[in-house]
Amino acid sequence: MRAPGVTSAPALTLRPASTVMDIERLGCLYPYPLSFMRSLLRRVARGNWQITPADIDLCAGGYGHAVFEIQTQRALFSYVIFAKDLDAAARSDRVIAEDWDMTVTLCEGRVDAARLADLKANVPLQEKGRVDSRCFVLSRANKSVRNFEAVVSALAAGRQPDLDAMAKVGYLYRTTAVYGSGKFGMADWDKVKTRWPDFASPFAAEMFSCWMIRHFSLLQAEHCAAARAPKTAVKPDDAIKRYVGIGNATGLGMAPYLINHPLLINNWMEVRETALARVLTQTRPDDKARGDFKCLALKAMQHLGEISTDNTDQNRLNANARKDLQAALAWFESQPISQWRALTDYAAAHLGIEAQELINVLLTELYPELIADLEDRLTVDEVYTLQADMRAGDLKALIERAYDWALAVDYTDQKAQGIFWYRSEEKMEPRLGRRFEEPGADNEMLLGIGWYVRAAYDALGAFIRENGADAITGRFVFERPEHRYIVRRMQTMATTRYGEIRVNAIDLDVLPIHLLRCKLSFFGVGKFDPRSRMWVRNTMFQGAPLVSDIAPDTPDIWCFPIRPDAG
Amino acid sequence: MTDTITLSLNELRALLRRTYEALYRHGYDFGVMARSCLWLESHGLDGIGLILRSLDDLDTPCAQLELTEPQPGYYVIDGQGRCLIPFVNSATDLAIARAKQNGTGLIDIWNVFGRLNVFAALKKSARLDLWAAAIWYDAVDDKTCALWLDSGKMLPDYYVLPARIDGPWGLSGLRFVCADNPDPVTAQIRAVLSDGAVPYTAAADFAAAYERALDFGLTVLKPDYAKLNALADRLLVPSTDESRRGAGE
Repeated sequence: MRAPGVTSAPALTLRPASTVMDIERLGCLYPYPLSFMRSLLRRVARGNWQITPADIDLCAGGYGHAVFEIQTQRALFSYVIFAKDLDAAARSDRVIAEDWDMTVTLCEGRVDAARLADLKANVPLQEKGRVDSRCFVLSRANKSVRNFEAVVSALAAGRQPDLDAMAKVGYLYRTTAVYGSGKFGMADWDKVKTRWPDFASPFAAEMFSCWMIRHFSLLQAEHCAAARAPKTAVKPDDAIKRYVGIGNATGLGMAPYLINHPLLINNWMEVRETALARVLTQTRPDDKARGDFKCLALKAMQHLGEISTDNTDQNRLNANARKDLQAALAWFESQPISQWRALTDYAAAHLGIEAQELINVLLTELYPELIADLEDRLTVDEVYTLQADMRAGDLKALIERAYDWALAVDYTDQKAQGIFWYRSEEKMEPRLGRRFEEPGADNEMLLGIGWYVRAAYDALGAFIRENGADAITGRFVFERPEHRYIVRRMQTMATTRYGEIRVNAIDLDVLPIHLLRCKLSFFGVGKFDPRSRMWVRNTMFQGAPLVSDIAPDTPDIWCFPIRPDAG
Repeated sequence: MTDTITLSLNELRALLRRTYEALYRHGYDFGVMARSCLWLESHGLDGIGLILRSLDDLDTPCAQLELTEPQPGYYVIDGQGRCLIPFVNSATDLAIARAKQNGTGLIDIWNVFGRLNVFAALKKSARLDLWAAAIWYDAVDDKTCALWLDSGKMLPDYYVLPARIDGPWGLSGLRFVCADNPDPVTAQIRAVLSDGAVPYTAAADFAAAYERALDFGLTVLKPDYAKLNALADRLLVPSTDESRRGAGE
């Protein structure tokens, strides 16, 4: 039976790549119903995963270890946590840190004493340790010391935590790295995908780990409060606990991932745009949907108003988005529109990009049943095959058609190639250097895709002049092997709907933070708090169900979390 | 103290990518080179050993190879005594392109070493629904080797014959053939294999080796791991206060 307000399915019209893949717009994306955290928790709830403490051994200060067992319908997993008393001077969000308040791993099967000892010898070392292929996430987190202490003190004194403080910093711990995909001896993604279907969607295991860190952070705070004042301590209310998220600090390391996985990103974007297109073409704003939209828009405005950041630009963006959304709501209430597209057309004509993308998300939130099947389409096998038999003339035309945005850049302007990306000797941390001022450009990472497109295009032109347009691509890349990678990438991406992210990543003024926010929005992250153009703090799982909430009928309504006393 | 380390496939692939990138910067398709080596290693064919035994050559500037086309669809390359790794993919691409265009592609690569690196070309042929084979003579061990990708398989069978069989591959060359039908490939392979020949390593054994690698990782000697890392680390840029600012501080 069709849901109310859902019409039959006409052909979908998706937004064009020139709109969707614009870097500035990607930097305005918000989490949406198919973001990985949301998908994960729906799966956890549907499967009624049983998460139980198997071995909790913490001292009064909350230090020690904890092992949780996760029983899904298919398999048993263990989540292992080591918590320590960290020297404040060692606490850093940077990848190059060497010690952390909490280190964790997610692994297959039950953890016995011998395995626990082995994990204890390696997990706290993070990059310097080794784990085996039964493990598939390795992560760490640092305390938000002031917030953690404030919560423990309040609970110990018999009070609930101060919501004003919680609204300012919505978490007790911040993750600083979450590793998967075979790092440090862990299971490869292909193993996770084929052996453990519970986690066979993008970043599901990594998101699960973050959710469990949040779970432990609350348990640890309760434990410390009870140990400090056994007679007076209280437990936090569930509503407050749900308002506690898990912080995250994300830096440049995430940006190369987006550029190096264009097929995957194209797929994520196509799913996202398909969801929006379905809503725009297959639903109509009946009375119920209009009411739901208004409620959700008000909640989103409240959410934006509660974001606390010292970043002037982000505050301006949030304020403008609220103002725009208010204007859209006023217009919407005055218009008897028969299609949602009237609203998105209004937004495109009158509102900023932030508000446009925010409205798109609100619309997809209204029809979860209409887009639920799309979450199974987020995984793609990334193969970039050279089509060696393609005529050189056809390759040239392909570049001109699919990479016009890259060819439009004037790379003779030093500003257009003013930056190079490189790996530092400190933990191979990705960094940016100024090409004409700093050493290291010889070791540049291959991330300036547009520049490589231009170089290949120019070389191809010379090749065609010499050999004719009927010569094959295979011959071109044999003679000019330095272009083989970019050619097979272009040939592959030209067959996709959205293709590449349209960014000159080596421009002097490049804003990597747009790339970070794009990826984080797919994770489901909110409350962006940029600390520079290269790294951002944010909050995960705020408002999400608690472990104790999990049941098959747990509702998926935690988007745009707001203070529990604001409802 | 164990002298081995267990790596995941992705971990080895990342290390190999950096190794080749360090060797050639962006002069070659380092991603596909890494994947080719990873395939060898993960299918039990000692890809790391092939790299390490070729290091002196790989660390020398590449030669300008001469490509000829004596007949349409038949290519010849003189490898000038160099390792096959840097150019095996772009060389076999030529034959694959011909097979896609005209049904059959054939390339002889003379005067090279590290010929097992052609394995990746057979995997690519499988992905493109082609039949394929590679044949060469190993003068060091006096054996003739053949990789044969038969219809519908995703991996080739590997034959090792304890004898010298003469052919266009000579003493240090390689023949690679691929086609959109079995006949041209079978005709080539029948020159060295008799009916009923038993593979040294069957496609199923390669597949099983890969599954084991996926489940338990790849065991690598620590000295070999250290050598690859030493190469890969050439890419790293020294850290300075200024460079730390380049990470966002």
